[in-house]
Amino acid sequence: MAVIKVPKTPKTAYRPNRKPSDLLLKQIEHLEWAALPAAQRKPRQLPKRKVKTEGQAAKRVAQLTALVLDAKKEPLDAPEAEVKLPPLPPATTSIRRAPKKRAKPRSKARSRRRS
Amino acid sequence: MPPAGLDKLQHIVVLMMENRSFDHMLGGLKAQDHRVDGLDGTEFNLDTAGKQALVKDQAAYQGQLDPDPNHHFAGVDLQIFDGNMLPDRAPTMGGFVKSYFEQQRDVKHSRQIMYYYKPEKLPVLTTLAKEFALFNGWFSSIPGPTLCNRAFVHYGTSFGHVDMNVFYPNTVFKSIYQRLEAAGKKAKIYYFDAKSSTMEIVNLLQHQPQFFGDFAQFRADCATGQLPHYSFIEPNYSDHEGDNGAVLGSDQHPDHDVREGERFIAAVYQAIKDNPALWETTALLVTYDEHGGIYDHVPPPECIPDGFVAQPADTGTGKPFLFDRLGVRVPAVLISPWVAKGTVVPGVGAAGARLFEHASIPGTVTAHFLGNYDERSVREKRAETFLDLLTLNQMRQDTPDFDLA
Repeated sequence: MAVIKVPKTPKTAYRPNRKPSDLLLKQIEHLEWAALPAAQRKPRQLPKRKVKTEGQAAKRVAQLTALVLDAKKEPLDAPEAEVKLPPLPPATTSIRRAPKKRAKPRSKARSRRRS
Repeated sequence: MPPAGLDKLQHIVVLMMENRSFDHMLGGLKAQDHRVDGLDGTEFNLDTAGKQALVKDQAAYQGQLDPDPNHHFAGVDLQIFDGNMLPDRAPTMGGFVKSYFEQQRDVKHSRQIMYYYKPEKLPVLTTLAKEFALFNGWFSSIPGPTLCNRAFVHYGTSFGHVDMNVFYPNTVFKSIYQRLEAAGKKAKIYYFDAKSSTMEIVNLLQHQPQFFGDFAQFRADCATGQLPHYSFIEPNYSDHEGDNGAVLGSDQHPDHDVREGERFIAAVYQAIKDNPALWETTALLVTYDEHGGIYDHVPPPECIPDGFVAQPADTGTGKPFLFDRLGVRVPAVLISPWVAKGTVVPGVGAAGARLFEHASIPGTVTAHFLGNYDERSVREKRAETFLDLLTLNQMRQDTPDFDLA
């Protein structure tokens, strides 16, 4: 019986500061909707600039999932209390940007090629 | 009398990964096995400079597909039909490079959408494909994005949606989980952890949290033999801090590292296999929700209309969509010790062709656990089921193991 070794993913692959995908933003939108009682609920677009990083999106998803699941612990006949969504967790670090390159003076040869 | 494996089958597990096409992940297997409907190296798209962009086995684990390739309905329409909007148009699969070019306006970068993996770069998925049953003709259900495609897995339809909306009021059909529960069977959706949570059916999370568990529970349920009749597993959708440090996204959604997804697939397989009683009674399907905008050479076939219509404002193409064509082909592998080694299920154009889509999942689960059940979408009722691939009467003892240490 063959045993196939599956290598570990390098730590450099970890990029929690990348921009969150549309998929994650949609997930947050759906969870925010589900976390609110029916009277407060309206499908809406999440302002995309609010969630800046994937790591931040993950924290938000955890916050909202807990809210949704906690709401189920209330007795069924309990009156619906108003729910205030918790503030967005901070993005721990800002999105890494590539350092600005200093403009190099163009050589004459390169300038000629481009023209 | 059914084959022994089918007779013993008590559990169906589905692992759905994210956003990779068949050719991108498995197309390279054609060089090893001509039965695989993959790539021979001559397939190409024209780039926006009019030059041939050939498929190349140069796919990297991370970094090439950033920005995330367009896979919304209109973008996929361009990929499939190459911009042809005539009524009698035929799918050519010629517009992938053009579609990707629109996102960065960089011709060289846009050609990377044609890249595929050398099989040895994906030892888990390609081993499973070679060891068990590989589907040449498994298509996403809609030529569109994640959530509407995943809806077909859970409901057998997206109720007319072709987008990322999951606000589904007045769903006509019950989810597979509700159907099973009503019949006294057990079903569960295992999401990775609270920070990844569930992606698609928040309505169920809100109203029926009993259907949900996390991946740690999946492992425990496997070890103790408590797996429900039907399990749906969600990978980790984000890089985030877990309880024991950094956790990598394992869904293989660009631009997550594909190797972590390989490890996750192996972890699911191994969790089942490490309990011999469970291994003997379980079938695992590994598939992908949609192609993620990445090239595949097989035109998606027409299919029976779903009974719903998506309006032009929703499709973004200026035309309505009648749910009469499948989406782009995705990888799919059926794993069980009762599946003959090296099974290749023929796809489009082959003798004995069988076409599968995501509605095949609730269709199969319903057929196996519930039998006749009428309250389902047309698409699900007509979808191919796959448990007949458990053909063996003797359980295999030669199946591989993965070492994740």
